[in-house]
This record gives sequence, structure tokens and C-alpha cells, in this order.
Amino acid sequence: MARRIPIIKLRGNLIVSIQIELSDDLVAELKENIAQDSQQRDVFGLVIEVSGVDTFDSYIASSVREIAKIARCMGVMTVLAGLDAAMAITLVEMGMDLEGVETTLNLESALDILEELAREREATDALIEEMLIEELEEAS
Amino acid sequence: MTMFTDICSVLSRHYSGISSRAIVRMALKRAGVKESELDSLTDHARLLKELRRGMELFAASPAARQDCAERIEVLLRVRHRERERELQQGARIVKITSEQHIVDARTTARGMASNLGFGRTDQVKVSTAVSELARNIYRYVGEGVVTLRYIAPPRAGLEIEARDDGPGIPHIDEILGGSFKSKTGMGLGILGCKNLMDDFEIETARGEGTRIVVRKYK
Repeated sequence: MARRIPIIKLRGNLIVSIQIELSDDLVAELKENIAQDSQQRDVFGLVIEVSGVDTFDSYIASSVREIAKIARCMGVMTVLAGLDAAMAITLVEMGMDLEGVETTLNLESALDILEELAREREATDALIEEMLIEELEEAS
Repeated sequence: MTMFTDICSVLSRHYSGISSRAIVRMALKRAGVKESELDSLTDHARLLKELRRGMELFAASPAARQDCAERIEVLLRVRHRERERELQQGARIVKITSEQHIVDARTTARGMASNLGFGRTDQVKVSTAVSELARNIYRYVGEGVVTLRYIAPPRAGLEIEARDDGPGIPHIDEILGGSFKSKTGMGLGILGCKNLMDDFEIETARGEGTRIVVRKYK
């Protein structure tokens, strides 16, 4: 089936730009495609770009949260980009939150954040490796 | 098309695009008018004066300046009349039977809020609240009606009524009190809608449908 919301892969990140009205089946389709792509390709981060969304209501907020949770299960970090000031104020006044989702002003800073997180993870991995080697050497 | 782009396009008959925008921006600043207020401006004298002043700063013949000024004046007057007529109009009714109608309802709400001269943040709040009401109808009942009306001055504003003949909303007191937690997110939208608006009234009973009236004042 042709995808109604394309997912672009760029330097180890998936980018989804939401520009049409989200519906239940569209959200379901998006979840599945994101989960699939995270599995098939070597993916570190996911950017959901919403500057084309005219109204960020509780339904879209909870959809984004769910997608982020699924991505998390696949080892993928989610960053939400393109939320403008009026939408941010509205979101907070409604009492909604985007728990577990990093937010940035635009796509560029979203990719910056993911790059930084990827570097941090690499550094941690290297550190763990070093400690393991040390332990192994001591043991032998 | 906003008033801002309309005025710019008149100016661009005699000025470059950049100069046109600069003239309008400067005039707005000097007249103390925000760009978002331009569409609902009632007193144009000050703005016109500042626009003329701006036009003089950039090289253009007196005839060209006069041509621009006259055209802009007509534009502002026509827009003013349109707005007056619009505000006197009765209710807008949006029937909700499909997902597209949710978009229709909130687009209508946003347009009306803009006509009233609501700032951008309030426009977003109103359209988000309407989106929640319309979505609730669509998701939990399947069909209903959203009615939008202007509230006349002295306390001008917007009134939105959402009505359906569905099963009613259970646990409404817990939902509005904020103590109701559901996994589906049901209830969050209605509480959010209440938080975004100035007035919120609800009548709901088991099997007797739901009627929600919200208002936002300028």
C-alpha cells in the first residue's frame, strides 16, 4: 500500500513531516511504518515535524506521544520539531504534556539534538567497552 | 489573503516588494497597530497617514503615491464594511459526521476569531478548543452539530455550542475535576477545552446526549 505520510531517512534519522489532518487509521499506519523502518534500517533518531499542522489538539499530542513510545521500544529517540509559540502556550494551558518527547523549534535544531545524543551514546558505549576490556585483562 | 499582503500588493504597483513591506511594517509600528490587528482595524486615519509618510521616504512620483493612498483607502474601507457585515451575521452551523468536519469546524472558528480581532495565540486556543469539541462528537457519538456565533459588544467574543444525541459523558464531574485518568486520553480533551476558554457550560446525562457551550471574550 502506498504511504500517505512519507518517512525520509537522513543520516541515521527518520524524518516525518505531518502536513495533513491526522485520523485514527493514519496514525495507525504511521506507527506501523515507523516501527518497520526502525527495524529494517540502521536508525538512531526520529524527527516528527509539525510546522504544517494548523491545530495541535489533544488527539495529535497523544498520537505523537504514542509514536514516541513505540520508537523508544525500537531504540529510537524522538524529537518533535516545529511547534510554534501559540501552539506551545495552548498545549500547556490545556494541561497536556509531551512526556518523553524532546521538542525543538525547527528541523535543523532537531537534527542537532539527535546528533549530540548519538555522540553521547557512542561515548558511553566506548566507556563501557573500555571498562569491560580492563576487567577482562584483570581476570586473565 | 490578509490585509497586510493586500496593502503590500497595492504598493508593489509602484514600489519594489521589499520597499512595500518595509513601508507597511514601519507604518504599523508608528501607528501602534499589530499585524494581527490589521484585519479588524476600525480606525484607519492614523495608519493611512503613516503609510503616506513611508511612501514619501521611498522615491516615487506624487501621482504614484496618490494612486497608492487612494487604493489602500478603498481597500481598508471595503474590508471594514465586510467585517461589519460579517459580525452581524447569524450563527454558523457545522454538522459533524466525518473527520473532515472537525477541520471545517475549527477553520470556521479560527476565521471568526480573526474577524473579531483576536490575537494569534487566542485564535489558536479557540480553534484548538473547537477541535476538541468536534472530535469528541465524532469519536464518541459519530454525529452532532457545532454552532458558532459572535457575541455582540460591549463584551465581544465568540460562543461555540456543541450538541449531540449520544450516550452522554460518564464521570463528567471527575473529568472536570481533573481526577479522572483514562488510558485512551478520553476526558483530557474536554478538560483542556475548558481550560482554554473563558466560559464553559455542560449538560449531559446518560442516554440523553450532551450539550457544551463555551465562550471566549476579546
